[in-house]
Order: sequence, then structure tokens, then C-alpha cells
Amino acid sequence: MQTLPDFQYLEPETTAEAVKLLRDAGSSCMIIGGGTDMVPSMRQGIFSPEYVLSLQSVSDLHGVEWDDQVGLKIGPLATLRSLETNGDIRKRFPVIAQAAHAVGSPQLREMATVGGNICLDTRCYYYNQSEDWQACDEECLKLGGVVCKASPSGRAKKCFAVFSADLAPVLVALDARVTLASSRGEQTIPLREFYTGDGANPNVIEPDEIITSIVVPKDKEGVFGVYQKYRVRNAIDYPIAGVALTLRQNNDATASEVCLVVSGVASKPVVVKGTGDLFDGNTLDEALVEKAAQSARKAALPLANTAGERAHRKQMIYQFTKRAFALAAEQAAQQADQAG
Amino acid sequence: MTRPNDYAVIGKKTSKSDAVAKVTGDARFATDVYLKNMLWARVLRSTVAHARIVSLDTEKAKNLKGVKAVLTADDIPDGKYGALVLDMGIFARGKVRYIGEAIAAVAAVDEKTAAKAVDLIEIEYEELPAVFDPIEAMKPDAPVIHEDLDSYKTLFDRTDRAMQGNVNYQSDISSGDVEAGFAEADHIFEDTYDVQKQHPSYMEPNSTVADVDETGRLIIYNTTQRPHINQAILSSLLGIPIAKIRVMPCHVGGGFGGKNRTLTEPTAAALALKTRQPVRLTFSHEEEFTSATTRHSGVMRLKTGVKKDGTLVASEASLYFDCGAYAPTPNAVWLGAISSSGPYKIPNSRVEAFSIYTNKMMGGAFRGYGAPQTTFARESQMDRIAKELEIDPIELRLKNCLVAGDSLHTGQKLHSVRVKETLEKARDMVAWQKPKLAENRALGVACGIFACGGFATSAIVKLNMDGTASVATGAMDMGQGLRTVMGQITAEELGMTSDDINVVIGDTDLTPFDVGIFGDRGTHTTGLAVKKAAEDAKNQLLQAAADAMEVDVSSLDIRDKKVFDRNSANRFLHFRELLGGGQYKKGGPIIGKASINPTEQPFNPDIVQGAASKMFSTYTFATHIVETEVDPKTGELTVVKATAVHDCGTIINPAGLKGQIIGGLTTGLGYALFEDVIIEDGQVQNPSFLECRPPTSVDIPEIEFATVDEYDRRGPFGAKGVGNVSVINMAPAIANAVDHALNVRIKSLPITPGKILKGLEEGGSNDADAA
Repeated sequence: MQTLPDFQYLEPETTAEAVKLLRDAGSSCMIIGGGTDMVPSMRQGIFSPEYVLSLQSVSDLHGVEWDDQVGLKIGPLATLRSLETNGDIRKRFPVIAQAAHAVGSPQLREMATVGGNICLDTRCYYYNQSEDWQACDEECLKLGGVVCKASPSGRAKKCFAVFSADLAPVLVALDARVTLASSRGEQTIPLREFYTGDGANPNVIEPDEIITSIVVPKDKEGVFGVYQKYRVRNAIDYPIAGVALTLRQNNDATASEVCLVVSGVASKPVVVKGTGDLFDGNTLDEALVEKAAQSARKAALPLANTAGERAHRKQMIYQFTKRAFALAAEQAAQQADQAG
Repeated sequence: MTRPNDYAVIGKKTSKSDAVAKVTGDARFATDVYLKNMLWARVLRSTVAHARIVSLDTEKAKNLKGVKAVLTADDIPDGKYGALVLDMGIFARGKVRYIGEAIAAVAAVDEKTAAKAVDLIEIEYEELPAVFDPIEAMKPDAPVIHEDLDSYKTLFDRTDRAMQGNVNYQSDISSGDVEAGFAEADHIFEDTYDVQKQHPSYMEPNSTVADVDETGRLIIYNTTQRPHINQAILSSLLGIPIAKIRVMPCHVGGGFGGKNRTLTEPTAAALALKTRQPVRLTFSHEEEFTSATTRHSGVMRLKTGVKKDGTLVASEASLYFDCGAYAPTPNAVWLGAISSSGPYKIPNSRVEAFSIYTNKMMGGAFRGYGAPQTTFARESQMDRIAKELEIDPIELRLKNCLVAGDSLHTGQKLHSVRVKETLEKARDMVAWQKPKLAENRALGVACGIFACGGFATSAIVKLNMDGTASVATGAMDMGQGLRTVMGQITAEELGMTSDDINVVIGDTDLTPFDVGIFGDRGTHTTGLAVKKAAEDAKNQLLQAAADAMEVDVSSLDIRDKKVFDRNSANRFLHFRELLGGGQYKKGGPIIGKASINPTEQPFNPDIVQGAASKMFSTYTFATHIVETEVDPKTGELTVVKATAVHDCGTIINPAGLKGQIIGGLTTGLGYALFEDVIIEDGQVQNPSFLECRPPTSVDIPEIEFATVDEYDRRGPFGAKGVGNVSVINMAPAIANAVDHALNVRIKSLPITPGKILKGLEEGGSNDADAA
């Protein structure tokens, strides 16, 4: 048995109370959503915070709603299961439901939250291990050591733990905004800027901050979206390569607002550069798709710190990108048929 | 010969007698045992792969508040145990041989104190060169892992190459004239196959609560497949008589061979004896993946000579099994050697099999027991032969398969073989014409043999006053349904129903000896002892009835809990009239017993050397066909459907059989596609279910299964086993299907999309559509 370390449990009922508690606790507090990722890590001794703060009782932070003025507002405590089943999401942003469905298993999705998925810690064979395991070798950089054992040289001073969320790449592609609140005030930033790319500190959230909402802007309604996930088994597993694609199909058969994001192959969800410009106003022809797929493959930097062969995971990103565009074209053709 | 449809209970779908308790959570497992004043144990484990222990200081740990005992090798008798080679003690003594090896153990008032105390134990190592590859470990200059190997006690007939260097067990099988066979061959195929480690993935970790009762006896609550062997090992390691030990197994949360081991019992027992308090030791799931046992990894080399028409004429197999730092069950190597010829007649055959130490976690027993490794090699190569010779893969197998009366390459004459019928039936079930079905879609076939039954067991049947009965045997139910099957066998023999039978298993105070559940011996061998014990009770009952009815015993029949006089239809006595009171007046209570240790057809020492067993009772056979779809762009592989046809003799419980087959195929699927305990520099990289990836419910394909009609005269009511053979065909069947679909031959497990794609890139494909 691996037991949970001792901690003090905090359960505020309002956002104001939550940020005050966080301010007072300083960096010795961790926020728990569904706990599906955090609790196993605590059992392994990766985290041993003095305080664990649950937001379950803050009613404002739950729920999903559609606002005609703003767009889709998702509470950070909304469960992944609720995203799968929410009528507005299924109608307006089915790709969000699809990505949520790709996570873990039904039991995990009943517990896991959107906030937790966005803030998912990066993972690595050298990091997600118990203290006993760690005792066999020099400490991993993310756990306080000096070198990243997963890095290609095995000696890099930068952490290469991998970001493995399914929902985040889709929300990034949909240009979601995330609002962070603390006792110091509130700020809203694009979700893509939330991620640092540093495996050791994967996001910009400060210890005293909480996510209060995630908003998918209303002008994204009606875009086509697809998420392709590669994993070893058909359930439970984190992605070892993932591709999120969103784009708008115009009536003249051109595409715009193209956004391609890869996940599970770097320390953050990577927006594939240049894809938007590449397609803007163009039709989805084969040469362009090939170019985009090659860019995506280039953007993927998988390491041997999770399952799957590295070269193969890169190839999966390439093939999944092509498959995603093919699905987009298929849908466009269907729409044209229906319109005709 | 009595056929299944003549039976009242045998062959009837029977619910598992413990099903409701397990579903409702009422069933008690070892981790549910909480005793008053119970202490929690934790083990200090090696952090290095190979080292001399320079110093070990437990003072600080002992002085921690709440700590009741700290034990190291110095505090216990210097005993060793193992199935064939007695090489392992409770704690490392002088040196450590793998990361995860037990060095010391603590008992404390709670889990956290125990963990803290372990951290306070100070240890200093002098690291030694380590070896992680079995082929490297066999080289003369390899680091020696057990310096005193030659002095270890062994329980098999040592060959010249056994107990040398890092080879702890070795066997040779040699029949016919192999050189002449190869000279006669038109084609010779030589292949090397690599197989990985697979953890048994039982959900319940190894766990023991040890207690010392008011008379000083040691009481063990545990999760095991072999309580009586546990008892004997505890006696020998701790130096206390067997009579002073009671092993009381709880329900087993899955075993699959992995609990045919003694891991937590001795440590918990030693701590309980030291503290005179109950002590609980439960492995963490991480310890399961670092310090329990897995299926042996290894390298399988096959050289096979074939005539133009597909007749197999010669075979040479070199099997290198990596057993890790200790060899708790090298028997797997022996069983692998037997299965390595496949279910085929090969007149000239030579097998050399090695169990080799490396500085890694241990290889041990796991469902399939050596045969998944060798069957992957044999059945993959059979398809290579079929392809090269342009013979249909099923035709090639039919041409060479064994039939009753043939001898196996071990020289054992086979009396119960329906492998041919399994091939034919499977072929019909999938309407096989050719393996390639469509672009990227293909069928793959594999055919396997597994040794079944044997070894000592016993049973006692007691008849109750009301005409019900109780049967006791030392065998265990680990979820496979043994309890139910033993009840059915007793009921059938005594003319009762399953509900009339109380089945007592495992508890060493209440049951007679059984060697343990492994090698498809539960139904076949323990079942035979149960049947004979019931028969003994029945004969006594009939004699009592004959006396009461004043007729000859030969004119009596038994059914529906009554004894009938065949010559006078109206004359009968109910069991309760014979047993209720009467049994005390005449001759006393009725107890039937049986004690067996099958010895038919021992191995011929001219053919077999280094055998790990004197014989096996019989053999089971199965053909599996899978239908797979592969995406040539990504290498993604889907097993759409699996069809299994088994020769398992008479079916005792069709419901249990179905569960066994689905479970076996699923374990085989995980072995084929997903699972791999990855070890780098001696350290397991993925010590969790999450990262070792046994199949989930959504990974299991559609499964269709059937059996062929067979009656094995050595089994109870003609029954054989099914547990092991159901595992062994999946990997080669899938590899064969991949080859038919894409012309890519995968020779190492698991078969990953990455390997498939790499195979395609390396020009494996001749097919235009696989661009």
C-alpha cells in the first residue's frame, strides 16, 4: 500500500474565500479538482502539500452554459463527463465532447474536471515514480534534481516531461480564454499562452491563483473540429500522440480559421506554426494538407519517456493530421450535398 | 465410456458458488483481515542491481516510536527455498541481486510508521558488475550472480550444463536423429524470436496477515494458489513443525500462476513470531511490478527442416529463458520446452532449454507457463514455412498434427489428442478459404499444446446425516471456478445436487494435501481425487444400504439422494434413512478418501534429461483463429474477432469453461499487443497497471468458441484442463494475420504499431495497396 501523505484539507464555499485561503497558505497549498491525476501522484510522494484545497463547494465554478454574448462558459469544476453529455456542447462544439470522451474511462470522467485537465501535470517515466523508485538513481530535474534523464542527452538542464491532456489541445485550437483569479485581482489570457513548454513548470498559474472560467468565444461556433488520439489501449491511457484540428469551411469551398494543435509529444500543447496562414482562404487541397502534416510532424518532439517508439509517434502526428483534414473535407462534402 | 449427456450435474451450466459473495463485496480477501493489535509491515528493498552489502544498520529504525520489530537476514535462520533450485532466502544475505530485492522488514503500529522506519535503515553497498541480458549472462566472462550456485539444493535431475555460471536449470529433449533429419529436409528454416516480460496482473496484490494463536501456533491468512506448500516452506524457513502452522487462505483476487509463489508469508510470519502480535504485509502495486514475478522473457531459436510437401522432418530448438535474479519456478522453462515442438509429429527433434540468472526482477509462473514464449516461436515459424512452400497454413498444420497413439517429442505416448478436430472445426467456424480477406484484413491461425495434470493431491468426502455431503481438498480456487467444479464432481458421483455439497478448500487444518493449482491440474487431477473420494464414500453407503435392505450390493443404484434396488423398482432407501442415526449404529460415520500421485507414462530418460517433473497425465490442445485489420499508414492494429476451439475433454461446467477461454484469450491478447515490463539497467521503468497496460474491457474482440468431443480416460468423467492452453495462441495468430495482411513478419513481442510500420518501411510489403 502506498499511503497519502498528511495534509490539511480546505473546502471554501466562495471564490473570494478560496483566493484568501490560497494567499494565506502560500506555495504549500495545492488545488484539487477530481483528484484523478493528483491523488495517485500524492500516493507516490511526488506532491506532499501542507494544504489541499478543494473547490467542490464553490458553486460558481461548476457547470457549463452558453451565453449568446460571450460564448461557451465552462466552469473549471465541470466534469469531463458533463462535457460529453452537455446539449450546448454537443450541438455547438461537438469536438469538445469528443475530446472529453477520449479521456481515461467513464469512472475517471465522472470525477475528472476541466480545470484539472487544463492544469494536468506533465508526465515522464522518470518523474511519475515513487520515492522508493527514485532512490535507485539520481533525482529527476522536475523533482529537484539537476538534469533531465529523459532528455536526448540524458544530461539536459531543461525538463522534457510530456504534456498529455486530451481536452486542452482542442480548447487551445478553439482559442479558448482562461480567467485566473487571486487576491491580487483577475486576469484573462488565451489558453495557448497558459502553457510554458517547460516540463518542470508547465503552466503560468501562480500558487495563489485559481481558474474561475474557461470561455470558448462565440465566434467559434460552427467551426469544424476533430481530435485524433493515439494510445496503446482503447481506454484508460494518456495520449502518446494527439492532433486537434479546427477550421471553418466556407461556402466557396475555402477554409479559414485553421488551427492545428499537437499534444502528447512535447511539454505543452503545440500550436503548429504557419498552418493558419497556409490555408487561409484556400481550399483544402492535397499539397497544402501534406505541408501542414509535415509541419505538424516537425513540431512533435516525442522522447522515450512514455510508451511508443519515438519515430512512430512522430509518424502518427503526420498521419493523424492528414486524417483530420480528410475528415474535414468529408464533412464539407456532406454539407455541400445537403445544401445541394 | 459414459458421455456427458448421461450426467445429472456434469456438463450442466452451474453458477460459481462464490459469485454472489464476490459481487456484493461480502467475500473476504486477505486485505480485509483486520485483527486486534495488528501491526503493519514494510520491506526495505534494494536500490541497486548487484552489490555486496557492506553494512546494514537498523538501530535508528528500531528506536523509532511505534516500531515493534526490525528483521534482517541476521535475525532469521539461514534457509533457502525454490521450486527446483533452492536459491532464495526471506532477506538478502551478504549481497543483493536485483533492484527490489527484500533486505529487511519492519513491523510497526501503522503503515506510515513502518514506512518511516524503513527509511531510517542505513545500508552501504559495494556495487558489482551486473548483467541484464540472458545471452550475455551465459558467456564465460559474465558476472556471476550466485557464487555458491553449485552448492544449492536442487529438486531435479541435473544435466551437465545445469548449475554452471548463471544457468540454474537446464533440460534436454532429444529424439530421433536430428542431423539425418536435416539432411533429409528440402528446406531449412531458422528464426529467432524475442519475448518480453508480462505481469500476471491479478487485481489483488500479494498479502498476508500472520498471527500467533494462544497455543503458539502460527496462523496465516493469505492469497495463494498453494496453501499446503506455503505451510511446508514456512516450516522449513522458520524451523517450526508443520503441525504448528495453519494456512487459512482467503478468497483469491486473481492468481493466474503468479500466486503459485510464497512472497509475503515468510516475512509476515517472522515478524509475527518476533512480536507475538498479528502482522500484515501487503505489497504495493509498485512492489508487484518490481518484487513479485512475471512471465519469463527470453530468446527462442528454432531451426526446422521440412520436406517439399510440408512434412516436418527435423527440429532443433534453443530456448533461453531469463529467470531474473532468483529462480522461484524454472518449471516454466521445462513446460516451454515440451510445448516448443507444437502439437506436431517431428520424428527427429532436439530441444535445449535454459533458465538463466540476470540482475532483474524474477520470472515465475504465469498462465501459459513457458508455452506462450515457445508457441509464439513455433507457430510463427509454421506460417513462414506455409508461405515459403505455398501451402495453406491450416493444411500444413493438419498434415503434421499429432493424433492419439502418436508420441510427443518427449517420447510420451499420447492417448487423448483432438488437435486435428480443433483445426477443422475452427476452419469451418470462420469459413476459412485463404488467410487474406481484403486489403489490410486477414485471418491468422495458431495451434497449441499444453501439458495437463499430475502431482500429489488428496480429498476427503464426509456424508452428513441429512443426506448432504462435504468435500475437502487442499487445492485452491483463484477465481477459475475450482470450488464449483469440485462440488459438481462430488454431487455427480453421489447422486446429489451441487447445492447439497459443501466444498472446503485450502485451509491446511481442514483439508488434505494438494501440491497447488498450476499446469491445468485442478479439474483433471484434484478433480480425480475428489471423484475417487466420493466413490469411496458411495461404496460405503451402498454397503450400508445392502445390509439394511438385505440385498447384494451389486443390485443397488444411486440417484436423487436415494439408493434403489434395481430388481425391485419400489424398494429404495433415502440417504437420510441410511445416514441419520443408522450410520452411528452400523459401522460408524461415512468418510470417503482418496490420495493420488499419478505416475502413468513417466518420461524416458534416454530422451529427456533434466525434467522438472516425472510425467504429465495428459495434454490439452487448441486452435485459435483471429481476424485482424491493420492500417498500413499508421500500423494501428485491431483484432476484430477471435475464434477458439479447444480439446479439453469432457466439460464439467460450461459457464466456467466460457470464462476460462475468454480470460485466457484476453491475457494472450495483452501479451501479443500491449504488455511489457520494461527494464533499463535493472530498474523497471513502468511499474504500474497504467504503464504495463493489461487489456481493458473495450480491447477485447468478439470471441466465439467451441469444443471438440473428447473423453480423457485419465480425467474425472473424461475431463482435461483449459486454463493454460487458452493463452498461448493469440500472439502467433495475430503475428500471422499481420503477415498475411501486410507481408510484415514481427518476431518480437509485443506487436506494436511502431514495429508494423517499421516493417513496412523496411520493404516488408510486396502488396501494392500497402503504400
